[in-house]
Amino acid sequence: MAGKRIKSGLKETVHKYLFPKKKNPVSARKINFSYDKKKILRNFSFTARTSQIIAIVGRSGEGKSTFLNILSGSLTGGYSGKVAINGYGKVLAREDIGFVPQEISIVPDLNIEDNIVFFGSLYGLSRSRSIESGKELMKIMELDVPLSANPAELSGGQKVRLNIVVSFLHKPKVMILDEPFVGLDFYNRKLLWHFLEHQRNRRKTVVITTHMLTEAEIHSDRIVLLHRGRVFADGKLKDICRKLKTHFVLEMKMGSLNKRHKYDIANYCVEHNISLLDSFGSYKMFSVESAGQKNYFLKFLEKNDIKYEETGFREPTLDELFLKVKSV
Amino acid sequence: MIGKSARILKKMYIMPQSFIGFLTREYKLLFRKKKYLYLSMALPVILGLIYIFMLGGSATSIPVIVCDYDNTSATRNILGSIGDFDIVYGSGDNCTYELQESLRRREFLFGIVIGKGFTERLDNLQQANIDVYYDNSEPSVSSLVEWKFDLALQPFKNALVYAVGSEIKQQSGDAKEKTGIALEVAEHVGGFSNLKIKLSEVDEELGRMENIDPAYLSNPVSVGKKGIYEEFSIKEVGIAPLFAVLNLFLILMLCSTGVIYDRKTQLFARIRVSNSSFATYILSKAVFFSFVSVVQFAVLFLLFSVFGAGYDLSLVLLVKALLFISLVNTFAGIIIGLLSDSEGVAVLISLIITLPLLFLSGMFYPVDLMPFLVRMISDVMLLNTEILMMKQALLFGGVIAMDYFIIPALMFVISLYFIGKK
Repeated sequence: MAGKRIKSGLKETVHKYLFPKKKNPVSARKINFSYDKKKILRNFSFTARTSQIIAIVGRSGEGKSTFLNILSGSLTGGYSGKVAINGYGKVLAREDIGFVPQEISIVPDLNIEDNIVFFGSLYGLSRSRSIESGKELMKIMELDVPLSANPAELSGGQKVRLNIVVSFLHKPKVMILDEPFVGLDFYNRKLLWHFLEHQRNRRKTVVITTHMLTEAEIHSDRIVLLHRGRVFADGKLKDICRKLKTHFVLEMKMGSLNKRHKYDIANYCVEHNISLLDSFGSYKMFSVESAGQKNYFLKFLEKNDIKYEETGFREPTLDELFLKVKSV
Repeated sequence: MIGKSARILKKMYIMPQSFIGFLTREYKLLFRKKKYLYLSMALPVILGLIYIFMLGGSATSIPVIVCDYDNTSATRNILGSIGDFDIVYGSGDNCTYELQESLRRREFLFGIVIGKGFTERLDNLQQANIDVYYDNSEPSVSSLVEWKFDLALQPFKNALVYAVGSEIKQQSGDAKEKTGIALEVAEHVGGFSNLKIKLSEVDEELGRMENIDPAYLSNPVSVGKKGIYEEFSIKEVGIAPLFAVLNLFLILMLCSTGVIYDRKTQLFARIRVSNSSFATYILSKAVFFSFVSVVQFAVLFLLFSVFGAGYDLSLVLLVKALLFISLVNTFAGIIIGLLSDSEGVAVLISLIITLPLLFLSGMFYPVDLMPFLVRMISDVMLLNTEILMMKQALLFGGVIAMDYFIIPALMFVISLYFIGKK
C-alpha cells in the first residue's frame, strides 16, 4: 500500500517536472490587507494571462495602489495571501516585473543617460545594454530628447514617459503601472496607451490602475472593478453592465418636483430597480435595464403629471457605471 | 527547481553590478550637487587652518583701558612691562564709570583700575590690589581674564618678590656680620656661655636668610610639565580629534540627507521591486563614504604636514581607524535618514548628536575632570574611541582590536531593519 503511494507520488513529481502546468503570469490569491484597522483588501484574488491589458478601476482608497504594490513586491509585509509571477514568489520574480510607481521616481539630479544606466544596473544590465534598451523605449515613447538632458528640463508628460522608460529597461514580462495617466494631456495619454498596446502585442501582461475609465474601456482587455476591497466586477464593459443591471442610461430634464412627486419617483425606482445616477437642478440621469423599462417609467411620470423632457437614452459609459457602483 | 536555482545564481551575479551602479550614482550626485562637494572638501581645510592658527599663531595685542589713580613711576612700570596689551589711559574722576561704559560698548576687552596708595602699600611690603573689569556675559573672556592677567603680571610680581628677597638677603648679611662680631667679643671676654649659645642660634638663622632663593618667595613649589609624548606638538595631536569630529559631522549630514533624498525620489520602492537589494544599497553607501572619509583625512593630513606637523604613521592602524570611523558614521547617518521625515529634521538630529559629543570628546575640557555621570556617558560615546584610534594610527601606535568592528556590523543590521520598515 505504502509502496504504491510512493510510486504514484514519484510518478506525479516526474510528470510535474517534465510537463509543467502552464502558469498564469500573474496570480494573486486571497489577499487581505488592513491599514489602521481599516480593511483595504478582503480576500482579493486576481489572475492575468499573457498579451492582456488589465485595468483595475475603483474609487480612491479602494485599494488599487495597495494591490499593485503587493503585486510588484513594493509592499513586502503586512498582508496575507499568495502572490506569484510566472510561478515565482516575490523575491525570485523580480526580473519578470517592471513597476511604474504612482509618483515620478527618477533621480532629478542625474541626466537621462545616468538615470538609464543606474536603473539598468538595478537589474544587472551593463551600461551599453541599458542605453540600448533605453533608446529603444524612448523611441517607442516618442521621447525625443538628448540623453544629456536633465529631468528638470523635461515637460510633465516627458517626465512620466521617462519614468516608464527607466522602469522597463530590463524588458519585463509583467508590466505594472500605478495611475500612469495622472496629469497627462490627451496626446500623452494616447501615446502611453499605444505603448501599452505595443507591449501587449509582444506577449506582455500589463496591469494598470487608472481613473480614465472611458479610455480604459477602449484600450484594455479586461476591467477589474474594485469596490470595498473586493472585486465587484471583472470583464468587459458589458459584463459590468450585466452585473449592475444597467444596460442603458436615461437622461431627462424634469420640471419642478414637489415633495409628493419626489416620494413617488423614489418609490417607483426602488420597486423597479431603477437608479438615479446623477442629479443637478432639473437634470436627472437614471440607469435602466431595457427600453421597455424606460417606457414604463415615462408612462408612470405622465400618469403622475410630472413634466419632463427626454434628452438622451443610450448605453452607459464606464464612468456612468461607476456612479452606480457608488450607490451599491 | 532548475529555474529557481538559475534565478538565485542570476541574483548573485547581479549584485556586484548593482553595487557599482549605486556607487557610480553616489559619485555622480556628489559632483552634480557641487555645494555638497565644496562643503565636504572645504570644511577640513577651513577647520584645519582655524585649528592651526588658533593654537599655533601669536595673539594680536589685546585692547585694554586703564584708570591709574595712583599714577606713579611704579604703576607706569607695571603697565609698561605687560606684553600683548594695547593700553589706552583714561583720566578724570569718572574714569571708572567711563571704563565700564567703554567695555559695554565692546571698545576694549579689559579695563584695569589701579587705586590710590597702590605704590605706597607695595613700598610698605603690603599686598596691593589691581581691579580688572571685563564683560562677564562672555564666557570665553571670563575664563581668560584671570589666567591672562596672572600671566601678564607675573614678570612684575617676580620683580617685586626678587627685590624684597634681595633686600632680605642683604639685610640678613648685614645682621650676620654684626652677630659675628658679637660672637668674637664673647669669645675674647670668656664666660657668657648662654649669650654665646643664643648668638650662635641667631647667626645660624641669619645665615639661612642670607642664602634665601628669591624664586622660593614668589613660587615655593614650581610645577614642571612633562608630556609623556614630548616629541608631539599641539599641531600633531590636534589632527586626531579634529578629523573624528569633522568626519562625524559631515558624514552624518551627507549620509542622512542623502537617504532622505533617496526616499523622496522613491528609490526604495525601485530597489524593492528590482533585482538589487537594500544590503547592496547600504554597503555601497558605506564604501562611498569611506572613500569620502579617506579624501577628508588626506586633505587634513596634507594641511597639517604643510604647517610642520610630523607623524609616526602606521598604515594598518590608519586603515582600520578610517574604516571604523567611516562605517560607524555612515550607518548612523543612514539610521538618522530613515528615522527623519525631512532633510531639516535629519540635519537637526545630526547636530543634536554631534554637538554634545564634541563637548564630551575631551577636545575642549578634560573628560576626567567632568562629573561621574558625564564621564560615564563620555566613555560609551564612540567619538572618544574614534579619537583614540586616530591617535594610535598617527602618533603612538598600539592595537586596534577587530572586536570593535562588531559595532558597525550591528549598526548595519539595524540599518537593514529600519530600511525594511520604510
